[in-house]
Amino acid sequence: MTKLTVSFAKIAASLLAVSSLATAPLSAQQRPNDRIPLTGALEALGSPRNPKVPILWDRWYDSDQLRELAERLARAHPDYVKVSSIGKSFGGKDIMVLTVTNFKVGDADKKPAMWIDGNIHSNEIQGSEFSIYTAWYLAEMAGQVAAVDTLLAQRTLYIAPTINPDARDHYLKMANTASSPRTGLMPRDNDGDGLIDEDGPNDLNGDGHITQMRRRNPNGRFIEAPYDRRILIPAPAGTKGEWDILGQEGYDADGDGNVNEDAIGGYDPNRNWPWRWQPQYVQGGSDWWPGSLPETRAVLNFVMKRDNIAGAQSYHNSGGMLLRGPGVPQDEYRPQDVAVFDQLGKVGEQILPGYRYLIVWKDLYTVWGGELDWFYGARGVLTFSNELFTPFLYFNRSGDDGPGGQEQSALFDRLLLLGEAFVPWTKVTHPQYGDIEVGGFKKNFGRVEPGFLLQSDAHRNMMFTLYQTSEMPLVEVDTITTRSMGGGLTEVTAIVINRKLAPTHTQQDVENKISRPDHVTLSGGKVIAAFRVTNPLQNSTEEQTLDPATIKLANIPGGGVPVTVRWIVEGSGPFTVTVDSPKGGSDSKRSR
Amino acid sequence: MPSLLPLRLPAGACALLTAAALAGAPRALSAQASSLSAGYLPHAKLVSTIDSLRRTNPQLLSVREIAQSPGGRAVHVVRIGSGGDAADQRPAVLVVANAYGPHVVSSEVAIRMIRNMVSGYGRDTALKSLLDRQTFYVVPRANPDAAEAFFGSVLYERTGNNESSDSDRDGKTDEDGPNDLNGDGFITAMRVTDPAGTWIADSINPVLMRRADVSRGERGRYRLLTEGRDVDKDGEFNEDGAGGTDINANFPNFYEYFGATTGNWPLSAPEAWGIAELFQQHQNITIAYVLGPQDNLNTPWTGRRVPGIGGLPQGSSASGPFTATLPEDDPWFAEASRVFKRSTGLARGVTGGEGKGDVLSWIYYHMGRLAFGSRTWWTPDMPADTTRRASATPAAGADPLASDRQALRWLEANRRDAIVPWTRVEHPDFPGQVVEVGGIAPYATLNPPASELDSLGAKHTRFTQELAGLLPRLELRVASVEAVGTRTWRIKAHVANTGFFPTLSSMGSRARWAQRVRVDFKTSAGQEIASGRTMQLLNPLRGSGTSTELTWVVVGAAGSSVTLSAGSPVVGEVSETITLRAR
Repeated sequence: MTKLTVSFAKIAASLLAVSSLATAPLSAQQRPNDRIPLTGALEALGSPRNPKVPILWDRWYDSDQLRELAERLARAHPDYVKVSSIGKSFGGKDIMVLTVTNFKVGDADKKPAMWIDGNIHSNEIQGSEFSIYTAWYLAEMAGQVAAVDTLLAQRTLYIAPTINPDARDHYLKMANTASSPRTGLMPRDNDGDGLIDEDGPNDLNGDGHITQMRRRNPNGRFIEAPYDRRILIPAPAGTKGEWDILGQEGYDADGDGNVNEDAIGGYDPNRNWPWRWQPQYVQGGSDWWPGSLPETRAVLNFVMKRDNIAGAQSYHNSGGMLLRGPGVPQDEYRPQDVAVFDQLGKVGEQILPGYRYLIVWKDLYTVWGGELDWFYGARGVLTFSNELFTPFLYFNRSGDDGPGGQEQSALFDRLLLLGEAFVPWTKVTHPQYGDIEVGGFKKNFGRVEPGFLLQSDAHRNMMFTLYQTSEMPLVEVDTITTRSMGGGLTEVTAIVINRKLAPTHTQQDVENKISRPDHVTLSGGKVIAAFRVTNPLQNSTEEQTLDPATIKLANIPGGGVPVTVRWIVEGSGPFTVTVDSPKGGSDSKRSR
Repeated sequence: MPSLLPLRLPAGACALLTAAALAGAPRALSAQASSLSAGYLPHAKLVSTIDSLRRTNPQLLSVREIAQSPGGRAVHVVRIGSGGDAADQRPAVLVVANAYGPHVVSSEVAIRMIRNMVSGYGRDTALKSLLDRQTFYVVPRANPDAAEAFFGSVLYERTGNNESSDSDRDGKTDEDGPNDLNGDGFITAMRVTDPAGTWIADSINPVLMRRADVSRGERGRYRLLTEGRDVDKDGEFNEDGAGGTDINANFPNFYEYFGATTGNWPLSAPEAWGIAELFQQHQNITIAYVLGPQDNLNTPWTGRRVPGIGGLPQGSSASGPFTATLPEDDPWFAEASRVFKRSTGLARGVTGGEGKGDVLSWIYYHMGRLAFGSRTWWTPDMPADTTRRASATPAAGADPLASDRQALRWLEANRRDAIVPWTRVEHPDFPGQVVEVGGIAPYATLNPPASELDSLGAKHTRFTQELAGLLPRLELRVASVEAVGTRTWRIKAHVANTGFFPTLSSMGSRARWAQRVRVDFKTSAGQEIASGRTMQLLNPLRGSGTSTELTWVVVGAAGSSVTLSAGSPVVGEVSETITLRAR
């Protein structure tokens, strides 16, 4: 039985009464428009006035439904959303990517681009809804907010709502805990007995959740918590307990003496990436080798072909963190890049109350072969992983995610969810343990938002990601000045500039020559000589003797630092100067 | 002997370090490329050879394609073993050849190993019993795209497959490869007379180039480059030629990121992926023999305890990966080395440490299997040179050119066509400068004349068979069945490894994918286990009779029986039925 206090039972009963009173006397068939949302009389700020694709943001969608939502968006907004598949999951599902940009302006695959993915860990589902929310918000707000139009004109977003569709569906549809499965569904022998996936948890009470097992025992070590009798806590030292906790719901299916020791899968998709990947004895769950999972490879292949990806976000849960690498201490991020991360992280903490900007190995734990480290290490891309949802959001209070958090969780469940988050203890007969009880928090509690907080958390996290998107590099030809040198020669000096926070090449990129240099090309005359002006005040220059019409720049830094280049040209103009950067876009200007 | 260092350099760079000058040696210039590969099998012939072996020995051989190279060439694995697919259930030796593409001799040796084994099966009882008990998986040509360069019209030691690549990361792919300036069919070295150069022709041995030793007042005279033009005019020569990923640099252990030929990420090359998958498909691979540049049979690997991150012992999340083999595995490498020297008679040879991203060390460090590597062939020792010019040669230890001089002496005696005298060429990138092309032909010090292949094949076949004889073997001994009381029995059994190698190496006991010995105890109706486990996994057993004792207490009728079995894919299965009666 759910141990609701009397007062809350009353509230629940009265709410039920209200809702039955509100039920219209006519059936849905007689009132066919009941399910169409009303447009309202005044828009609520931050939301689309009249979305072409109405989507309810208070529920979790399986992989087919995510695809349906994406296709609806693409049909309703063909100029802003396209859906494609970047490969198949182990189970044969498409790994779907939404390309979101203003397709009428420029080439989507040449604009500086943001990569967003969600749900790499199967149970960490809300990144998928947040991803779809982002595509929906941008497409529906186009024309409503000028900043959205600018963003869509200048940038591309590649959004993969789930890069783990098989196990997402397993989490949603099968009996699971809030933390299972983390793995994908490729069969693995977890306990080394030569058998595969032979002893996973079992849903003994058939409620679709894997909760806890307990058994009364006069010599048990647990008691019911004084603050909430549903919760078991250790008996204080020197006192007698009344319960045993028998672990997660399940029995010993293979008769080896262990319970639930070889469930489906058996690896960690976020330890499978080819940057500082290490085998099992160093990194548990890394699987056979980097990229052994088809889902990992689909993303690798997609990203490798797109030098325009300049930023990335991989949504996880939970804990309220804006994580950056490195995942291991000796993988030092370059100081120039850390400065950009720090600035983005600082603004992120403002956008996301209760979230903290942290470093994986230092503040969390060591991760070998994590996705964000591959993006930064191998591709030089500034990447965050947001750990979505935090118990801070229960009562907008710090500390509720720390020790003693269970009491606050239980309180939140009673006060705001009326006890819905807890499966009441019920009696079952266990094949090995005999008469026991099963109960506990549901899988969709504790790591994911309850419905009424979902859209709010989606919006704030999206806004952090869009802030990063808008601060990706964007190159411009600032000025062109010409000076006649006599004898038909002209000195052409151009300033190119990137006013955004992020450089066209991170220092990691520069040092390892990951993406090609930026090109500044002069046309309109025969180029005799070309120089990078390393110090315009002292007029120090560095000559580029080969292919002088196109000056190569290893980087155009962020923050509006002007970069000066110069040519000596036969001819008097006008000349056109074009800057073309793999991650910073392109721009052209003509001299007067 | 050229050092192994050149093997790690991008294609074309090798000639730099073995560059030889034969000042004034009379020699006619002619295209010699084909003579080096004479008697070797290009891809199409290799495939038809494998196919005809399979057709004539269907009872022993099966062939499977494990990858298609980017150049459209199949990579095959040949299974040797009797009894059809039952062979996949037996302990197996994996042989991988030619992951390092220029090392074509390894393919020839591998093919001969297959041929020798199938032809010996009917005649040699020891071999027959081996092939009835164990299985061999042989990948004779792991890098067919690169190997095919050996049969081209212009030779350079190409390591990469046919995937296009941007080795110099300038946004263009394969735009500046070497060029055969003197038309001899070899890409060798190119020296440019230049007062700013840092190279000189070696004064003692008139043939070799070396760095000027400014501490001894030597002044550089030449720039030394690989033979070719600066096709893309970027100031670098031959820095991005045809050739993508070096299969022997594309494995995850010690992988080198951003290398010119290491690929986009570990196992990005289909050939490497296909080899890796063998370990998923065949859990029964017990050990591996890799024919390639990394050699741990002349000088066996010896383990070291290297402090990891923060001074912690390596091999954990906090401390990072192992960078040295484990001392507990020393005996196995040492014995394999003794067996190698005895069975091949190859006493002196090269020593190659672990490479970066090479297949040999990956099999040990990541798949946890004992892995042995041989360079297969190297230029043999030559009688000491007693001429006056040699008397000035510095002591071998102090002479950086010692191995080059040794190789050169063998080439002079056996393969003069592989020595290209410095010849002046007109070079468009160096107008008005003296440019000469010369040095040692590619491949010549890696691959022997074809006349030696049969003898090499026989030696390595012998060694591989002896190696297979060292595999772990399980024995199950029931020590006692004791009547404890009414219907109650105490059973003691020993599980022993009577082979030489352990049931798992020390690295294997850490790696996830190599399986432990599993012991099952099956009761029959009316029996109950009072103590002991129905299933348990054993810690690795070292060989030579090492055993572990297991005990069960069973309640059951006298005369009824239980079944005990032990095994793992890498050691095979043994089982015994035990009757409950005192003995």
